[in-house]
Amino acid sequence: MSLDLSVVLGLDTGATLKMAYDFCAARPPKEALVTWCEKAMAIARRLDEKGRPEVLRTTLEEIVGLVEAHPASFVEAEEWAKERLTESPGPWALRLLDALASAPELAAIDEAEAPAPAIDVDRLLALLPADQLAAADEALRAAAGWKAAVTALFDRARASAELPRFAARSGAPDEDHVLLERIGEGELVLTRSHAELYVDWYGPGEPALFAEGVELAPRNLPHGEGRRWLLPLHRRPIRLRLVTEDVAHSFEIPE
Amino acid sequence: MRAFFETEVTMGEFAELLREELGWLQRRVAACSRDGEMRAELLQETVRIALERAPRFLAGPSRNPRARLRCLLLASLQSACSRLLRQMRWTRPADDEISEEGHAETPESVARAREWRADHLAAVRTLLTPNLRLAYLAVHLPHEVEPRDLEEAARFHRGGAAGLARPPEVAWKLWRHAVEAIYPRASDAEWKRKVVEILRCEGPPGEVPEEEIARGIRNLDTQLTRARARLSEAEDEEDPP
Repeated sequence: MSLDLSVVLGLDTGATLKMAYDFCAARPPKEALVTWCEKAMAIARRLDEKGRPEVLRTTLEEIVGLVEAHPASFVEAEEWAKERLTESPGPWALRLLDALASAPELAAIDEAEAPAPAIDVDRLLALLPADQLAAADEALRAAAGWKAAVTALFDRARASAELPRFAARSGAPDEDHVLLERIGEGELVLTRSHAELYVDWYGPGEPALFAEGVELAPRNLPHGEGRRWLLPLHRRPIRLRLVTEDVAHSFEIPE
Repeated sequence: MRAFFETEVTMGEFAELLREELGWLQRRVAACSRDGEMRAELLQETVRIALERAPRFLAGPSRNPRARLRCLLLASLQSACSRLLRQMRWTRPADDEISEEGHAETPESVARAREWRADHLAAVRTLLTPNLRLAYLAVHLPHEVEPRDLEEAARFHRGGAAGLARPPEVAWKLWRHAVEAIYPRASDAEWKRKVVEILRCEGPPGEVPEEEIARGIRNLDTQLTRARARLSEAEDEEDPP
């Protein structure tokens, strides 16, 4: 086991992304926004320098999407971005800076008087395919029930440890899982097998996983499609960091 | 108009969330198109793409469903714009590639140049925000600048070199004169200077301090870089993998 040096040294895509979502929900003070901008810019610069790992690209794309979709929260970064636009940024940095510099203009578009509807809303909704709507509804319901699903998984693991025979007789499944994070081209899945809980990585590379700052011992997934770590802590919240090269992705299994 | 399957729909989670965000989406669609029919088509295509992508896009921890939905709608709008533009032939914009009819030598090449110009103009008007659009049109396609371009840029004026420094009607008079009298004989550098003087400075033309002009040109160059990046990005999305 080793200490998580990326806490000090590296980029953290998970934390930077989470903060962007927080900003979308509530407009941040300028100081906090500028601090965040520096972190997002570090991700962009690393992409311009090395072009990897993949998680940097997906994170930056998501960040740019959030800025452009919620410009009102980022308007105060305009001047910060414009200053850096004169420094011949690379393509990824340019993309981030352009989004931030465009925030006031996009915010003004969002606040403008509503145009005449291009199409009747009810007609538009009625024309959408029912099977696709059902799939989207299911995804939204699953997302809204995500925390409850995590809790249920922990509860079943506990029940399985305490009453193994009863659990076996009751016909409860031996294994179930919940998607924790989609990171770059991979997915992190919380998996319960009987009384044990694992974090499974289905994706490229051989990342390390740290729980509360301590590295967990990896093993291969049963079919070799990724990595698996046994979760030693069943007390939540659990703060985790997936580390690829020197890039970390922090996330939390909630209480 | 793209055909949809007619079905009866009960108001599910997605439809409910979409209904709440449609006003926002319509504003963004309106910013991409001045044409009513194209707006309707863009809106339908955007929602259709968003619905296709929703199950994967919205899966996982619920960080902020409304924020995620807006991101999904925006990404889908960009794809819808690209798909719409794919029906036209337009090429990667760069300083030395802006076609001029005068450079064409045969009737066929004149027709091709006209077609290219119309398609490229459609891309510029669809993909760029008002300030970037005005900067790009003013430098590369000055004859295509319309009074409405100036009005839209002025709406987002926030001081400095962004937006339009003069009242739109004043800027339009100066602009028309410059396009007719100065553009035909100006070098690229001289024209860029004139663009800055008319659109980005408040003082009388010819009396603007040199440092203000220099700052304006730097800002204009930055905006042109951003505009080209956005156009190239959209074109990359068009390319089949």
